[in-house]
Amino acid sequence: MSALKLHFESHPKLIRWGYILSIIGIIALVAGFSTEAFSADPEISSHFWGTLMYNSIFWTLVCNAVMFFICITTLAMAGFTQSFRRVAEAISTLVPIFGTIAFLVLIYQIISHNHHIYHWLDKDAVAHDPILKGKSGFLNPTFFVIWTFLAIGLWSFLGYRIRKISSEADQGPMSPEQGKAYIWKNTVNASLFIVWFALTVGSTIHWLWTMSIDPHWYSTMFSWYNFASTFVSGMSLIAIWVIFMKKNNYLELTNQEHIHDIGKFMFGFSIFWTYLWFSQFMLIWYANIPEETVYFYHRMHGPYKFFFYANLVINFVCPILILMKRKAKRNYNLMIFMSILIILGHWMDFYQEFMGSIQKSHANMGWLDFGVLCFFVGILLLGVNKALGKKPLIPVYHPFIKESVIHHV
Amino acid sequence: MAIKKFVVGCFTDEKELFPAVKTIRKSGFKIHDVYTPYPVHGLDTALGLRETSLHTAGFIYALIGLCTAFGGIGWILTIDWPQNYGGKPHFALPAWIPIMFECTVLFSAVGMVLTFCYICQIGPLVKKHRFHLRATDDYFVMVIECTQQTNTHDLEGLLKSLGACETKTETVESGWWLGRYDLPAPSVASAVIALILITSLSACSNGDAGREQNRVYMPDMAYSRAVETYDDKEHITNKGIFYNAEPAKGSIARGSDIPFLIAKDTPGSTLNYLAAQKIINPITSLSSDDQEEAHRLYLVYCGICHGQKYDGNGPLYKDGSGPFPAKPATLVGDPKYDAMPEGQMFYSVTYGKNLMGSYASQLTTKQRWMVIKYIKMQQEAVSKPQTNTNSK
Repeated sequence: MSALKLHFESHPKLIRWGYILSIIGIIALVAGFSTEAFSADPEISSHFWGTLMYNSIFWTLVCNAVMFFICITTLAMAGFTQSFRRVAEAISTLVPIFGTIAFLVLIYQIISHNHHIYHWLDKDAVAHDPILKGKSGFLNPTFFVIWTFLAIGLWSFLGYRIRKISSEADQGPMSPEQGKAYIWKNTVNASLFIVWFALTVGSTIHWLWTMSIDPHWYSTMFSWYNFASTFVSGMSLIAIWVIFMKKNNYLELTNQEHIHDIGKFMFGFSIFWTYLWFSQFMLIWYANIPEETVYFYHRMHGPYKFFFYANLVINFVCPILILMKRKAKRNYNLMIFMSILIILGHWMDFYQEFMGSIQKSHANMGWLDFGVLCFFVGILLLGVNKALGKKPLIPVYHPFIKESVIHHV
Repeated sequence: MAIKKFVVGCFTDEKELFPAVKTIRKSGFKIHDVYTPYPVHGLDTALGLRETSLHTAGFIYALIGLCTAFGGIGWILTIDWPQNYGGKPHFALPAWIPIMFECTVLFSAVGMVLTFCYICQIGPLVKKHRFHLRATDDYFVMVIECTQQTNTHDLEGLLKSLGACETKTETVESGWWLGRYDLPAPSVASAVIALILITSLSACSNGDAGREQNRVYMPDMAYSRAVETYDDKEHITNKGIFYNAEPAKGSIARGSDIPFLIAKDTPGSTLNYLAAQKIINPITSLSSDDQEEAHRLYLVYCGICHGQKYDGNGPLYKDGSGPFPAKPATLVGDPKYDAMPEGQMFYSVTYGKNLMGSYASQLTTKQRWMVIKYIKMQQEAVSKPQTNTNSK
């Protein structure tokens, strides 16, 4: 295995585009910050903060979903991921960075008592509202701050641990006993991450960050639905990076077989996302209770109509029809196209989720949304580029590496 | 029927089988098939078999299932037998999706299983030719199709040299050697299918005959034991059970307006009169027909005092010479009434104000709101053209 290209040379194109996009993003952020952030009109200031919120939360959760992928495949004792796991690890290094941005944006809403976005911050309103009062044990600033801090902090910390343990597979050959101990260590740490992931992304964190924008409304499907959104985007992100590395002659041990499996994840979880979307929508549509339909009414019939239907077309119809064939999942260019489409589709899903609740009367996806998106993509390019160079690209002494080499579907 | 000749070679080990398959193919022979006791990984590639198109068939079955469910439910619920389910539209697509999904999956699964059975010739009434019985036990049986040029003796020798433990030459009648269905089988099967089709089609195409009630299969469902809304209540009241069929207190009939819940003031109080300011007119705009109707109602009930021109100078007042002693309100042009909230006007029309009596018995709730909207429109029509000319 000595002939393998293990060292990643920093890629000039990535750096150039990373800087271009983040500079565009910073210009948009500064422009938005100076014109909108402190406007006297809460509609305008909430537009800025809302845009920042959904972008930072989306990218944090997508990168975190990549770490989740590493952990579930570890728990499932999957071998095929080993040949490209360092790429996934590199993407997950962005969790602390994006997480910090998301944390600052969220905490600012609490400190500035932005009850236009989080209505439950308005103490008077809560005191006279039996529903909000009933939820105040969960929806209160103290719990919000602590739980947000713990969520982002522990995701970052546990992710860091898993990446650190992963590096041990570079040091030297392992005896079977050492290998067993190593796998066990991986398993324990991955389990810890999964448990914390279930307590946050799998349940509370979306209720806290996203669903509480409509504090009177609730849906038990909501967190799973958002999880599916970020997980499928995370898989798409892995696909883009792995194919990018393949096209630059890295990752010799990864081939179409591995891309095919990533494609299956994208295909399967696109449908899982639709399943959750539909389960949430159909019950509310059928029961037709005003307290529940209030969430969908303006999205279906109002200014968010386009996003409501585009959401289904991009995130369900396109993946199911295009990714269904075996050949499609093994075609690098098509996979890159579908990955970008899926990521943008779920980014748009987050847009309508946040902005559809923050400004119900009009939808104006525009320069700020795309500017902030550029910012996060730019940081992602720079961050992953840097993280990839820090470690050998393939954990050559990992006990399961052979499974990845002979992987065949 | 044509007779075909096959050379059969049996192997005991995969390790010998693979190179043998390679050599035989390289030598230009056509391998009919290799029968193995279990699926052998990679054998399909070695034999050069093309990729199965079973999944394409599955996709087509899925589409058929989807269309069947969608067409069936759609036709029944919107054209043939539209019913009101919980106030949903007849074309209630979200509610159909679970059924459409299930049919898609069902058709796809069953269709693929049947296709698989057909391709592999598995099923009742199928006669399959077995080249060697031990293919089901421990032998890997390679079957090579012969042409007229094939020297079977040499071929058997070649197989032996490749490690075959047993070889033989077989002649098989074509037509069923692949395991084709025997003649009686397709005719029986097609007869059964035809019978099912004819029965179901005749049941469908029997005009209204199928709709007549003949037998009750589920009497508990057909004859409800619960009290139905429009039932005769006698048998309940006969038992001494108190039952009045009146709606619950506060129910609002379908199509009627939300009632005006503010009560009439006690003499000397204006509490409720002021509270009525907050009530919003449920009618937000009037069509031209509605305007005409509101205008007619105004002339009939209001104009006699408030005047045709809304100036408070109706026939009953006539600049003070009429029978009515006090001047009625100037509805258009008086800032007090221009600014008066519609809810307050409604209160006055409903309960009366000063010398004006209640019109609640002459005008329905909706008519009262219409007339008030109409008056408000007249007030705006007078105040707006001025602002328009100013801006010009």
